[in-house]
Amino acid sequence: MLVRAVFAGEKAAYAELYDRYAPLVRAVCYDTTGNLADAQDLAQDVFLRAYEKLDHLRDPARFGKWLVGIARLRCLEWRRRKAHERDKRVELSDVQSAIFNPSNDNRIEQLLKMITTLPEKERLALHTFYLQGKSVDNARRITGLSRSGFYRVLDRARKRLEQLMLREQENIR
Amino acid sequence: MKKTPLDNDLNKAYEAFNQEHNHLRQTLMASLPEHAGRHKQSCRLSRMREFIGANIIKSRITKIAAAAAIIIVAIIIGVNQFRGSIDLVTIAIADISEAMKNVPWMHHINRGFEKGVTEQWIGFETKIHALKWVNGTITFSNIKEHKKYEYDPENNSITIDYAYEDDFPSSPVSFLEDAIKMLEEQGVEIITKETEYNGQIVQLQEISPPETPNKWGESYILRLYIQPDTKLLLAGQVKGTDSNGNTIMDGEITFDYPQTGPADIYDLGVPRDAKIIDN
Repeated sequence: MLVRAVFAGEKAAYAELYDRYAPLVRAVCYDTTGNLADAQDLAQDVFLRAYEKLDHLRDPARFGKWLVGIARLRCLEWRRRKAHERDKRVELSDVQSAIFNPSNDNRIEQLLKMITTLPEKERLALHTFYLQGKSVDNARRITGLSRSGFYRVLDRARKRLEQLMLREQENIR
Repeated sequence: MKKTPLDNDLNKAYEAFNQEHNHLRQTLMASLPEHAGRHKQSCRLSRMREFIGANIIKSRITKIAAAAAIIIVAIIIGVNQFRGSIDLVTIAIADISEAMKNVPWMHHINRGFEKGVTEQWIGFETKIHALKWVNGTITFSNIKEHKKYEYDPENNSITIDYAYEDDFPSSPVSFLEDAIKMLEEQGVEIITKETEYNGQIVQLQEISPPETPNKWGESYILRLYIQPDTKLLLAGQVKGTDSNGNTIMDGEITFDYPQTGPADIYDLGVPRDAKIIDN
């Protein structure tokens, strides 16, 4: 419905789509960038591209999945470009890691970093669940998993995170 | 699902992705084109750079290399128009376009450049565009089938995505128009002479940027070797030296015009066992 409204020229409908999916796209981008500032920039670019290429979306009901596909591709391009500028990235990430931590909660920052180490399927399951109103149906539409399959992947991701956190605590002691 | 301490932490963690949301939304909405789904021609210059394989990097050296590569493209298309000091406005675009219709494929190999593309094929009739990058990435686009394949050597995977019609030039003329703009900005000086290249007498054009040396004390020179009968470009060389005469860039691009080119991404050396990711 919203996608059709955008086609009809209602820009406000695109703002609604942005509200619904931008946090998810930023999370997907963060998996690649490892810092929030770059993830925000990449996500903006993803939404701009999606808007320009909206006529290529065959099924409007799959907008979320399509958008995540564009984000993945954009992340690939970003990674390729960064590989060329590796030295520069080290300097930048030092600066940007300072920008990242708004709550000064180290535990939360660590948790986000740990998520980036999970397999892609598990990361996406976590992102979609926690950023799509904890609706399994919404999350499934984007991940393409069955209901039981989605729960299984989500459960596995959470268990893996718990183990990682436990290991981290043991290291601190 | 049972609530756990981890669940609370995850809720908090994911709040990070809502930061500055309203401001970001405002910025995005202000930058959207008038209509959705109409892929604009607004980034023609950057697409041209992608087309010729030059990276858009902030370093001044790469900028000069990109400019040199753009000049090469201009020369490919309009070589017979360049004699001594050039009047770019007089380039006959229609004639050039006509001449280029006879070139089914263009292929070039880049050597000595640290970044960007190492090898490129463009099939004008088949609408195929293939690139090999320095970092091992390989892309193959079949515009007629609207399919773009990108091989990631790190993960041994091929991502399939949509290839857009307007990402491929219907004719080289569109690039020429952009190249003219770049050349005008550069204010290049061209010297033409005869020389020998790989055992044959060719036309040599030496192109120097207007400020030689530039404010960093660097000097650059671009040499183009042209087959005098066909007027096709055989090679382009870019050489750069610093204020002490040390070489800081020594790149060469060699061109050929085959009858056929790669039919798929595997023809470019991608392993058959690469995992396929279909977007």
